[in-house]
Amino acid sequence: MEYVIKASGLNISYGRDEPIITDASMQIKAQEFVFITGKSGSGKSTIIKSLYGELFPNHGSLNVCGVDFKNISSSKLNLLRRYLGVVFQDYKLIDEWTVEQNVMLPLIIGGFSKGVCTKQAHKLLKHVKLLHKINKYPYELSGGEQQRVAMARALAHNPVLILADEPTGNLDSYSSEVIWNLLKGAKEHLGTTVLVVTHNIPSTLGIDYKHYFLESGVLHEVS
Amino acid sequence: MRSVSSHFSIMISVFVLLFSFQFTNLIKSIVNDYATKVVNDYAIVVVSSNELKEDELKKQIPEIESISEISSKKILDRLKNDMSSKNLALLQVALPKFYSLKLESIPNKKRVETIKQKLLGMTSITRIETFAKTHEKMFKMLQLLQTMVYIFAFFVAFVAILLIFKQIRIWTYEHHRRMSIMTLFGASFFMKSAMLYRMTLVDSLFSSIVVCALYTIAPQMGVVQTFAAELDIVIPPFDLLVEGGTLIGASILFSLLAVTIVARKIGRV
Repeated sequence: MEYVIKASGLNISYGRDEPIITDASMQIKAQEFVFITGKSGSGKSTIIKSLYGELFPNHGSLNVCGVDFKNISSSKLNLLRRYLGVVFQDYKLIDEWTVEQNVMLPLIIGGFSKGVCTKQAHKLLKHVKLLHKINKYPYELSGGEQQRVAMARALAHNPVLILADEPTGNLDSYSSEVIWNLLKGAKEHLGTTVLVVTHNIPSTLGIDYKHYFLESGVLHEVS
Repeated sequence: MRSVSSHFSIMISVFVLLFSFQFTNLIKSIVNDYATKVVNDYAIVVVSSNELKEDELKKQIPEIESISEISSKKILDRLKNDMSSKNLALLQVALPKFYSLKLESIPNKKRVETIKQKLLGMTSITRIETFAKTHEKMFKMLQLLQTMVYIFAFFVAFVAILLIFKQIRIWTYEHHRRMSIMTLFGASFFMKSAMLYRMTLVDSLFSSIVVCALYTIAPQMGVVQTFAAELDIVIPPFDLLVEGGTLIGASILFSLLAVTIVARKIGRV
């Protein structure tokens, strides 16, 4: 599988409204680190949503991790999502579950044993410096801490592709640094493809990356 | 705390449902038992100049269960001191035969009248006493009781449906976020609903066991037995196999149906 994401001529809209994204095309190879930037309301989150199947394109073709989105069945979409690690803008942590249980979610869905789930959750929570808050609930954490838990959850099952929607938006510099280091580490040590939607690309990242700029629903590759 | 209240809301709903359902059954059974008792006590008295044959009577009136002759010996014994033995012998020959007709079920007023006319149509029968007034009163009382039971059952069913819909709305609200997040991470239908299925099954089972225990123990309590004896009613014992099985089955069915509706409602994200 040369390309992890292969999109061509995508038109995406919410319901019957005007398309948010028009004629978008991109090709992302395995182990690439990709940024999509753009102004607020330009459709960055819409692109991410279409990549994990929360929104479906009206026109064009989309292939993620070798799975074609045309007439995709519910079970096939479920299977694809198990290979993705998604970091949502609003974290999407389960309020009635502890930090540990939240991080274990993709592993539980993947059918791993309890021992493996616990070991991996502890390892990742140590990476995001939240091991001491393992038994806390999301509402007991700050915004930055919640985002770090969401990041740990996205990495828990060693996904093929990480999709991060504004992972450092509104975070303090410490939490931002932890998150960028984790994303970099995933690419460098695990060979994971990373696609990040953000306002600003950090100047101190220190790795090669591909950059797409989104303007008025049109996607441009920045050379 | 939220989890405890969630458990209680399911348990109480199921408990109310099952308790009312079984209560309707119990009242129905008591009324039926009482009706049988009334039928056993009720009889039509027939005066006939000739002997009556049960088979022939049953051909004309199928609801007759049995026919028995009322002995005239008691009346004759009473007159023994006032009459000569010769006159007594003559009276014994001239005296008609008295019969008591028992029916299989309680007939309504119209049917009693039809039976009366059919009997009067027979040449040997000279008089009939149907005790229509007393019978009618009792019949109407039983009918009223049965109607009340059905009205009660209707309201229970109505409240049960409302409770189910309320519970479905609560569950949809409570579990929407968790199930949506699980869907985004690729959880299958059963995986994301498993927690809800497990919780409702355990709670429903617990509630049905409590209802079964209540209906098993209550009829054996002294207070209940005294009360039943005062009213001359029999409280049937709780059949753990049939009635208990029905209650447990109904509660499981209720929970499975309700959870499936919730999971389908939340659907695909």
